Amino acid sequence: MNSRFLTGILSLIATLAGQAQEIPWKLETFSSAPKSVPAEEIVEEGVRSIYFEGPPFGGKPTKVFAFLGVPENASPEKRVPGIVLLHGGGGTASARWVRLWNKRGYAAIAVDHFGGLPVKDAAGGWKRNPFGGPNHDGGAKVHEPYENQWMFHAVANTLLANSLLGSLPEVDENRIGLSGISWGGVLACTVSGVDPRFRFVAPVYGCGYISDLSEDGSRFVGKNLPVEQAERWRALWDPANYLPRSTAPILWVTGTNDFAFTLRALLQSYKAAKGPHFLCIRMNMPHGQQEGENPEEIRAFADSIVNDGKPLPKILASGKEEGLAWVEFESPVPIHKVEFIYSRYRGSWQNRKWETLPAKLSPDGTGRAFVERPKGVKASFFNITDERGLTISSEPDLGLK
Amino acid sequence: MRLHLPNPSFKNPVFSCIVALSLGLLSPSFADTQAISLNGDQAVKFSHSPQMQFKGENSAEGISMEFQGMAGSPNWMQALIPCEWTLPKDGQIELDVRSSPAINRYFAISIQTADGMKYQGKLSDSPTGFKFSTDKTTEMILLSDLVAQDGSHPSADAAVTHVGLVMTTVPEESPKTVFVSEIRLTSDE
Repeated sequence: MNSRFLTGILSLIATLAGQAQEIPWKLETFSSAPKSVPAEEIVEEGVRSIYFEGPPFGGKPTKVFAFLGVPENASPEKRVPGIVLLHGGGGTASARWVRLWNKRGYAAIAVDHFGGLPVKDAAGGWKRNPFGGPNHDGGAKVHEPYENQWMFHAVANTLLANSLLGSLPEVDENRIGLSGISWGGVLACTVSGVDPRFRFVAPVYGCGYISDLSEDGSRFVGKNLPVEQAERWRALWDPANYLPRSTAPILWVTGTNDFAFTLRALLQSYKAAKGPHFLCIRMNMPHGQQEGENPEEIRAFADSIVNDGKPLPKILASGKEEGLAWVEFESPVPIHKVEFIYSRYRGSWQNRKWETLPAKLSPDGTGRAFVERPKGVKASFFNITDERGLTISSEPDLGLK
Repeated sequence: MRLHLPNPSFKNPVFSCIVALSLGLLSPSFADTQAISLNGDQAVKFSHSPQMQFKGENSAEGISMEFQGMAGSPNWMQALIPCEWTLPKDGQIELDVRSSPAINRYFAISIQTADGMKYQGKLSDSPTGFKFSTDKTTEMILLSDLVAQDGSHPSADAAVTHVGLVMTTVPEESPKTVFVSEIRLTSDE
């Protein structure tokens, strides 16, 4: 039997099983604001450093580090929207990221979900939080109780951060969103299916369907685990199990050649989530914390949902026929350009080469653009950029069977 | 379509086509895949820069290249595999590859034609190099990506005598290994 077909069947079974089974987090357990105290030893300009109470680890209570910031003009009379921010692998809570969102008019909380502190240790890594939860375990503890595992704590602490942020008198608890970068994006995908309080979700790079066997480079987790552990990780922790529960609007931001999260895994995730969804795929977007913090599309997406901002361009349809590829869209802001991005290559998504062609806008202003489809295209999508410089992508045609 | 013919008989394209036709695998017009299943039978020639650590092997599992780059030295290596391919007008070379551990390195494919010309093209445009995974992946380069030093491209129907795997590496603290199990020339015709 074709291995990809078999993997697909197993994935479907795992996803259905994931939908049916009870999930590890009970929202009511984490929906009250946790107690918090100042982390006086860590000082960053313009933000507060705090510890909040997380779930027990090793039978002991945990204190989770976070940076918290509220815009200067926020008050109980003039409440602002909020956002929970989840860093990527090897990282920690980012004060810079909180300040960025404060400038945008949002209260923000950036959580360290690796049981660390934003203080360098002697070896140049992040200092361990002596009262923190588990570090990222790569699935090595997947047979231990949930409470011993990183993923359980990381998701639980995100729910608690939402509860904490929403309890602030200056914050409107009904206008809180979530963004995560890389591993933080993986968490954001899972949380989108666990915590319906989030009004919008913006995973950058990270997605689900990252533990299925493949020959296209899509397996990110489980390569170095015994098969049984890898299968358990897939069944327990792959966001593929939780995305079908998600109903929040999601903006997926990634690059064509991301080293960790492939376009195929992204597309599966995008299709699994049930809410409105948008894509922003950049050519060869570098993978990094700062690169993942900055996309203006995330701000515009958030504003369009919780701040009456002008929406991003919306893709209505795309397709190919008679040698042409076409896309239909609507946009509240005039369109600056439409590009056809395509690859004439097969193989791993990380190594494929991509090319760009300018698409022609229909002169009648109907929100349609087209391009003569080059010979030998194996994968393609359109990028539509409005006059604000914000880009939205059509659903990629990846040539998958 | 993929065609696996036992080595070394497939090296004879006429015989290959007769076998394939008799199996009903091919249309009479053109053999659309010419494959090398690397299994130890091929006379693979390895070469590398003199200072670096290198061990090349062609076994039943395919080609393995174990290497450790050294500081202050160029670090390049090559596996040259004999073949008897005829280039189609449009097509690509595909290969199945993995590494231990996962690494990013410059990785290119070269072909040598019967007239002595050598054409080469890299498998990734990334500034960080080609990403090798510990999972086997299938990779591809278009024939139009192969370029000679004079800027020319190989012509259709050219006879290819060797296909090469070309890598450069960096100073390393521990050895790395790249594995290649099959190389295929496929046609779009």
